[in-house]
Amino acid sequence: MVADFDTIDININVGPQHPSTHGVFRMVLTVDGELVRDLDAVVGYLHRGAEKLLENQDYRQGIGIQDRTEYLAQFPAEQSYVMAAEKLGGFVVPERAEYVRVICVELNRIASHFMFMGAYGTDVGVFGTSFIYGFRERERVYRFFEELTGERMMYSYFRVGGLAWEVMDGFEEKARALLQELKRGINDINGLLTRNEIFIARTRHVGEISAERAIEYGLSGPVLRSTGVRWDVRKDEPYSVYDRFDFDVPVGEFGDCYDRYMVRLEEMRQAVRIVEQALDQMPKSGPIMPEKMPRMLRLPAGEVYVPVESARGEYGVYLVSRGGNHPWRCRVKSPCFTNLQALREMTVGEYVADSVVILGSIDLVLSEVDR
Amino acid sequence: MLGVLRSMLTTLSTTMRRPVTRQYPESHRPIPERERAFPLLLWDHGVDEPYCTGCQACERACPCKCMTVTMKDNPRQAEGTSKRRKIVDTFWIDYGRCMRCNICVEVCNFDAIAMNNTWTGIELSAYDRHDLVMDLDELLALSRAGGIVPWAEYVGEENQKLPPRAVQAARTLAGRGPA
Amino acid sequence: MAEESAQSSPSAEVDDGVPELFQRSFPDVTFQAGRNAAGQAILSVDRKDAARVLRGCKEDPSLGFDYLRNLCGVDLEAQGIEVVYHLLNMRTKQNVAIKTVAPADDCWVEAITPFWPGANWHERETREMFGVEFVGHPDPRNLLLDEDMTIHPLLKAHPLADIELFQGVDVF
Repeated sequence: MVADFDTIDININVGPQHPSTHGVFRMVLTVDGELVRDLDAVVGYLHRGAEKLLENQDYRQGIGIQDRTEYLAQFPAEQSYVMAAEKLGGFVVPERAEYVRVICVELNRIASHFMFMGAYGTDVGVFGTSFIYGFRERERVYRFFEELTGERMMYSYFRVGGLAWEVMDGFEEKARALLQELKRGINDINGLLTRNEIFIARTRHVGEISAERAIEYGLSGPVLRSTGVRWDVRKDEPYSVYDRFDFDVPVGEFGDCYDRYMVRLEEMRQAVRIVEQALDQMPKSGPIMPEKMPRMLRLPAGEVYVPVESARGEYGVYLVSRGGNHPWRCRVKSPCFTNLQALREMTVGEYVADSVVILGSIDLVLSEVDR
Repeated sequence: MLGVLRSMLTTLSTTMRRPVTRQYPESHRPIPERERAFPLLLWDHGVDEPYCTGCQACERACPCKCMTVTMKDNPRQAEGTSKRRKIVDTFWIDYGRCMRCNICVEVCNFDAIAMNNTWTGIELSAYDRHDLVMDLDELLALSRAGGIVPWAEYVGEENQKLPPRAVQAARTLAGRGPA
Repeated sequence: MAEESAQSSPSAEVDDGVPELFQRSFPDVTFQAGRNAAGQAILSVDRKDAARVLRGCKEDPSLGFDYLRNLCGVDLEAQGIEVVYHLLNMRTKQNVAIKTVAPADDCWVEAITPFWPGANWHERETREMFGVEFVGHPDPRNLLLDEDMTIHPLLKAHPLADIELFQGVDVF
């Protein structure tokens, strides 16, 4: 009798203004009942021409734009930009500045993952509890960075060659106190979500992708590591002082949403380990910029591509310089842009309710998709 | 079932903790010394005029093009009461466009511009975007009233002999003084 | 400036054998080899060979460059548009940048999306920003810009417009 009915697939527009799309993102789902047959992702609602702007700004002004390109984990974005300029110019960053950079990047990674935990719980249905837990911990990191740089979110703290200014008094004590509070926050989130049967039922074996397809799509970050591929730019192509730290790279098994959550949870714990080691190893005094840095930076002609492990994956800056104090071309390769291409493959065949869970597990930041 | 109970145990344990909420308009939290809100200009109380000479270094360095500056000949220099040959004539900063990157403070040759680190720099709401364009009098107001202390006074005589990068850091951050 | 505070220039001493590897796998293709500031190999090919070389990178086990890191365009003004592909071999951890130039008057390259799904959105974005046509791309719509956009914004022929300044102007 069911075969006598004529059915059509309907298009559902999960529009740009939607609380679950983590920003202005639009996807058009073609559904047959509740089953998703096709997905068309439409992006570009937050496009601000960042790459064009970067061609008209010099190497200090462009750091503010990098902050705003990735608005949840700003320090890795700043770091890849200044590292690209340093490679072109041949500048050597002093050791103390490298350690402070690593501490800032890892604390930012923890804060960004807290945001993910918060928003992901909301997507799955916890609706508010996990969100508030995540933001309570993010506030602590904001306060710490406010004492260090003066800004809660858009720091503009890294400069080509090192840091903009010296750290504040009591940097080490405040960082250690912050780590204790963050460890308690991680345990809270862990207790709330990890063993919760409802959470597992909603995320286990949902949105699976295999390791071969993940490499074909060029995925990176926790989404790639959840499929079983152990690739982390900090371990495999070490930059800055990451080769001096002892930390693990968590890897998942099935490539589903639950594995991505577990990878990020474990990454937070590893980031805490890295910050503790960095605070132990950091030189107590020293320069934060090389001697004789010019006031107006002019880089020689050349090009370089510098990848950095951001909270969402591999954030890369491809910098082409033709001399002068502006880049000729600055391409920002953002991890969410590449990871979103795989959304279609992950969602087709799942239910409509799961499409929101899969989208949340990619940890989307629209400003870096659209730039 | 056990997992759900464990989640509930977590939520129960957080109810026992001290709340982190602050009743905002009634109580303000203390903001750190390095707070970096919007830029403003400093007033030289010794000579009774702004430090700013209108050289446009900050206007050229601004990534957002949020400033417009013009200079004029200083009438006080002819009188002999001031050493500045030129003085600022008009100075607009569009707070709606400023991104608080601190570059204008770093390039200023006269220590004339500083980032506001008091609550007045943060509580800035307006009904119209054009009301956020600040002119010279509004930018000098807090410093003239004594709410912001210029760097040199704040760090004292002996610390002005620091090496250049430390000087710049101190000027950028510690030079605003308490509200 | 750079000489006073620099260490030794990195690009001179690194030799990872990547250009020779490519020349052996594609004996009939002419490569122009170079090094970037991080010491990684840059291979420039003619656009008629580019798709074939990239296919070989992915499918040939002796090359194994199967991870596409970046695909973008660079405006070379008079010479045309240069399309750059950054590839990674995860097993040997070698990087290579493959470049091809599309001349200004006849601006096309072959799309690699049919055999490399990870290039889909990168090629769409490069097409709308620079005007390079990717022949064989299954879905050449605009990605980030409006559908009715008529210019290609990242070309140097379209400089950034001036900001409207409100300072000091009576707008009421």
